[in-house]
Amino acid sequence: MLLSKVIFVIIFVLLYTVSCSNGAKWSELCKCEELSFCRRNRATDQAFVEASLFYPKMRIKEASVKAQKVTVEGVIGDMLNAQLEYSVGNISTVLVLQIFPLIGGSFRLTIAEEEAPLLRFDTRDALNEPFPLGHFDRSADCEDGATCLWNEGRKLILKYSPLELLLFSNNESLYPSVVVNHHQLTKLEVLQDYSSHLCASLQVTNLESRANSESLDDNIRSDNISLGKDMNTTVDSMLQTYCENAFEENVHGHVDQKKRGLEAVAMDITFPLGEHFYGLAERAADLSLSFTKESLYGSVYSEPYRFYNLDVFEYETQKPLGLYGSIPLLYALGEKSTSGCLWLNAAETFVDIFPSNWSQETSLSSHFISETGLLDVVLFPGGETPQEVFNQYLLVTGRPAMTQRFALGYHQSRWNYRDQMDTLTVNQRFDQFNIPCDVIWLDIEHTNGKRYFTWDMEKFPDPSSLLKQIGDNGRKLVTIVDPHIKVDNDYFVYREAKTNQFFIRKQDESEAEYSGWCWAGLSAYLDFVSDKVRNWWSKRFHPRYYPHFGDNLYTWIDMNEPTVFDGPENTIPKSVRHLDGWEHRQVHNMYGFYMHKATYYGLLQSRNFSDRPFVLSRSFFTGSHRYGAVWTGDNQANWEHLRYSIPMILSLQISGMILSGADVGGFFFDPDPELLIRWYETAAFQPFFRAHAHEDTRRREPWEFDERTTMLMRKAVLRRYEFMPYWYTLFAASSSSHCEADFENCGPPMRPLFWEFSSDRKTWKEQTEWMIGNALLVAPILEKDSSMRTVYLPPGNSSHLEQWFDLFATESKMAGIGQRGFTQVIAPLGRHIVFQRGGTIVPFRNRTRRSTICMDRDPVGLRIALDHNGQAKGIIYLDDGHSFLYESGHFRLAKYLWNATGTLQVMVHPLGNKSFVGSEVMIEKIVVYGMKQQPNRVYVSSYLNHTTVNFSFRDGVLFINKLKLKAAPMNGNDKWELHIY
Amino acid sequence: MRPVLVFVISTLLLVIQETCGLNTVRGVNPKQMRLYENKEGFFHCLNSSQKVPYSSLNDDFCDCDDGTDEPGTAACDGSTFYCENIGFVPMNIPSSQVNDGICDCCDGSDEWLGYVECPNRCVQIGKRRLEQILDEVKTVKKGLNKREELKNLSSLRAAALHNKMKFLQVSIQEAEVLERKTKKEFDWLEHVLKVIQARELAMNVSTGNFSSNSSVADIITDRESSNDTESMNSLQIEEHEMTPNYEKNSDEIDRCSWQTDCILETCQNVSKAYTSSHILLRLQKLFFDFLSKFPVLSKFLAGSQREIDTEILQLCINNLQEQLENLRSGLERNRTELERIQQYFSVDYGPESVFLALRDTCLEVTSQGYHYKLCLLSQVFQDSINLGKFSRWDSNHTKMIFMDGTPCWNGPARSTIVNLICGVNETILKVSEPAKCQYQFWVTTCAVCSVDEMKKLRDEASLILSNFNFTKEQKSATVPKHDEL
Repeated sequence: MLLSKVIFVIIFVLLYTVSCSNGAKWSELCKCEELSFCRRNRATDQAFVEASLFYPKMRIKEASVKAQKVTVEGVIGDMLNAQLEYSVGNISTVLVLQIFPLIGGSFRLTIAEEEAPLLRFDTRDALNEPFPLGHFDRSADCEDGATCLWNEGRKLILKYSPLELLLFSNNESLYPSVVVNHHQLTKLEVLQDYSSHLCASLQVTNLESRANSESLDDNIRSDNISLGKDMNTTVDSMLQTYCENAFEENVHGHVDQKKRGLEAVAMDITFPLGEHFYGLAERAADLSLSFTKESLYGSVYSEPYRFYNLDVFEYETQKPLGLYGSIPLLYALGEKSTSGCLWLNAAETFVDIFPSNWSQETSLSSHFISETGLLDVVLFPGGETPQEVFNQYLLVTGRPAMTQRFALGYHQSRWNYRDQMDTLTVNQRFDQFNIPCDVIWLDIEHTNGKRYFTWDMEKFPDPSSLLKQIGDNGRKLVTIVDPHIKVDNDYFVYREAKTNQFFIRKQDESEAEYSGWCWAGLSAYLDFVSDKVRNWWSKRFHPRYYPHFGDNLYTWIDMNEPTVFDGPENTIPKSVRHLDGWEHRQVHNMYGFYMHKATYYGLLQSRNFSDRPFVLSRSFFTGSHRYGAVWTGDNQANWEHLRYSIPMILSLQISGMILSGADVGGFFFDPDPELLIRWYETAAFQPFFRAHAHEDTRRREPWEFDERTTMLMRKAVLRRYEFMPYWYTLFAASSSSHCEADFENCGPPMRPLFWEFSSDRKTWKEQTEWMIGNALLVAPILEKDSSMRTVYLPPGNSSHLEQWFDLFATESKMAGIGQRGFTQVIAPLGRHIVFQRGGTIVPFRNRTRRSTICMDRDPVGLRIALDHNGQAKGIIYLDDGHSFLYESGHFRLAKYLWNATGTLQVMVHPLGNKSFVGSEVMIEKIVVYGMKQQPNRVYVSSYLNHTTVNFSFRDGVLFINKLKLKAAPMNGNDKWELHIY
Repeated sequence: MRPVLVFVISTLLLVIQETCGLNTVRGVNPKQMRLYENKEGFFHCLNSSQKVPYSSLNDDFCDCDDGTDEPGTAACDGSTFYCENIGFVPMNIPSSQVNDGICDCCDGSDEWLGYVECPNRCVQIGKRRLEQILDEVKTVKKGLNKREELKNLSSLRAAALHNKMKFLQVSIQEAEVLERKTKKEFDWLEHVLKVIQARELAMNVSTGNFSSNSSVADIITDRESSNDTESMNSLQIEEHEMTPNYEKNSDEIDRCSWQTDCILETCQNVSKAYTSSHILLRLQKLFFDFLSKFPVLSKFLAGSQREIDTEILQLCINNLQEQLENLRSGLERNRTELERIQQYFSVDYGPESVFLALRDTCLEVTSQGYHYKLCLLSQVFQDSINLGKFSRWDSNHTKMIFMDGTPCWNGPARSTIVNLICGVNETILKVSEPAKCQYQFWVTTCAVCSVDEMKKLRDEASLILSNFNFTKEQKSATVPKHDEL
């Protein structure tokens, strides 16, 4: 620890102890009960009078319902418009309800004041570009006091009084999939002018009796009169409750000034066919969501799930608190149906989960409460499987960005590689130990005093040469950039941003920038919510502004919740102002999203739209998957965090954040070799595979321990690269807008077991094993001193018995075939538990290379696992791995089909016909699992001739070696079929 | 890369390979060709008993489970590719680096499919390396000479320390004996004083005279018998040894006749000169004999007699005490010094104890705003922060490991590893903190220069030279003379 840092640490500690008392640990984070908006709205047992006075039921004015054409962000489509009568206390107002049909059969519902003195923030930026607006198939009055709407065959019934929406996934279903406002918890606190605010008078009288202010007294009097004299005292106390902390709230020692007054929104959404909820990322909690009320059987939590992007210090597992990002997407899974909803709100939000009833059937309900924003929700009718909700969700929020292939390789990071020589040594060590690695990362210490976009020239005297040397070894470098900008007039970024007034401002009306403490010391925070600032930021990623911004340099954005060490709960105060007039509380959960977006476009522009950006962000919102990767933040080096990395990543996967992972080894503290090896073995089969560590930890690169540890860590890394063609195919599928047609299988690359086997209840709570695509089942060892575990291999049903093949079995013969159901598997260190599902074909490469780019031309292999009918199919996708040329035909997409007669055929996508490095790769090896008997002969028939090929047959597995077959034959001469007899 | 071009190149290469002789296998060191011979149609995998058809060798498909059948392609994880590197040193690289689009061998032979153009840089590198080796050899040479000096210095210092240690051990031993004797002497005198005082008391009570000698003797005898017999024995021996001195002193006392000053002086002399505690017994006897010899004096002293003998005694005691204290503090000093020197010898000074002379040598450097002070084999400091105390060596005495420095905030105690590199002078080349509170120093010193290193460099140089495939003129023109090495 260097001295200046010691001083800084001391300051930091002082600051931290201040902020720790209201940030950081679970016990010190805000609970629903401590925040007035949540307290008010969560209470469901309010007296009738109170509820009706301040939270009236929503009713639609019958005559106001009208379908119309509308243009949203340049997209023309339909909308249904209706008015709601709504009176709160003595204030009578009109709310507007709008229903938009979205592409894919989903509906977006918004409710807000028709006219309000202040604006509510709309999160439409989170939705896809262009805006996914659709058209109603038709709309009609379908019953008394209700309108029916159809969107892509899905019916929505809008009941007027009380307001209720019923969404059916198809015309035949008796039960709706989604019901809005079944529990009458939909509320909207009407925005009012301060001068005539319901609570303003109360506030003043409460603060200080000001008898001389006659007008205020008059107000109170008139309120009371209008509410009826008999109820004066009751109403008074109700008003008191309603207005409690309306304008000011002391939260853990930080005073929150709320100029806008009351503005919360809430809604209940019921899923009559739902039995399990999933989603609501990000938190370190179980995959299957728990009830959130203490009184309920089966509740793990007494707190609702929270969405408030925070840098939670040393976060604990099994807590409903929200972490760095928010994706308020909810899946309701049933045996034969899955539906969902997306709560579009960037403000602090709490979600209760509780059992409900719908026509005597058990079902699930959710209750969303947000501090401000529109009442805005997308309803997904879903279908039989979770995949249908996922498809609808991605149609609304966009497909994940097409990944750089190197991003799927192994990443080596640490806070911090000390200097240029250190970094180059690490780079060189990978070659020395023959361990593949694609990316080396530099954390904050590489900058000149945490001035981002600069280099510490003493430690990194020649960044260009550093980049070149790393690039010469086929690798990339990632540097970090944070949103807090050091207050320093000699720092060009600060100076320029200040001149342009690009910083978030203080809460008062002055133009002064807000400043708070972060890594850089006193810092100002760029206002990424403004597109002016985003455009400016995007231009920073150019050698002109970012010295040494070379071709193989990519970006990591961190601390973008944003983190403020001396702020409430470690973040920026809610009352600070944004350039476009928003108060931070309105936009908080999207701050990181906007920064991610701006950075994505920065990289895109700086490389002339020819190179896919790679940007890792810690904070995110729904839609961030269009811009890149995220990770689960500052986890810990212990077994519990290793275990919880799985449900955390799975939740992100099903929420569209497919390029996601956890810090391998754990960020805080030192893992022992066993934990580290097991973590590598686990993460080798999770999408984003980056080892990272805190500054205080000991070095833990693969060569830092004994020879055996190095060997085992290397082995895990090699497994990742072995399956690289499969990973890349899965990522291409998820990003493809023609996924269903071209790839057939379009789920997230890493999937919960229930995704593939949603009718098998035993899979619903499974979070220690998972699927990669539809083909591989992975079940790592997650316990200390253990070399055995139970694996659940879904058995399928009588009409389709699943077959499972243990790819890395080491035990006896026939071990290759997995026992269906629960089975014990022995796995000492170094043995990966991976089963391939019958009916699938998985491409692989097993040549050791330095990095993905060095594998471009290497031949591939196919692992073919036959199902109970002796059939299998699979896909390989190939392109150059980094450019957008695939959009113009520079790709290969080959489908392999093994039919029951023992013929392997290949079909190639006709549009992918242009060449690129690696377009002509060969298949050198085919392994077939599940053959009933040894074949007599194997031959390849091509355009001109038949060639017999050698094979071997061991333990029921057929090996066909030394093949030279084009993986994706485009022209007639290359076409082939493989036959066995 | 255009496939056609690749094809042409690979065919060409194949042709070349075939015409060059059937005995070469791509990626194999010619000296190890024996292992890759066709043995009845089979290739025997190198690290197992497996054998595969000979055609499997380098057929771009991995056949051996140990991965040894593809030295010339990247098909196996486990093969190594041999680059001849004419002009530089031959090298083995993992075969996984063959044809991966990155030039690894300086002769470019690893990229034989031509995915990238790898110009032959061996001669250039070889030449540069030879120049480097030349420099390094010079450094090692100087370093070795310096190391000899250092070694001599170390052995001189070691010898000096040994001598000093010996000397200290002897003087401590002597002083210990002296201290023991003086202590006894002192104890006796004090005892005598007490006896006299007790007698006085008795005399005061019973108006008695000096005839009660026996009672004093009794007390003394009691005291003696209470001591363990061993010390009695030693006393007897000392008595025997000290007899001439005693005689001399009693003579002096005799000579003094009756002047009290003289008596006092004698007493001091006695206490100084005589180290036997037994003298006291005699002194006491002498004292009374002395008194009894001079009846006149006895009479004369009748009144003041008691005052005088206690006074003298007291003087003797004080004197002895002072002497004892001096002895003890001297002893303490010597012991500390001895301990310090012994501690010096408890440290491992490496082969031939060459590092002894560097002990407590402190090197200083300012890096990235901090002042570092490294005291070899002792302590390391960053400004006033302790980065560790010397704890141990690595196994081959090239790294000093310092532990237990000032603890980090919320972290472990600071520690430092000092990497030693052969050089002429002791200099800190670089300081770094690879993990928080764990420091690394790179320091040059002649102490780690070795003949082995010299030999290694020379071997390398001759390897490069022997790997030059030039005409003699070129060789002499481009290459430094071997003699210079």
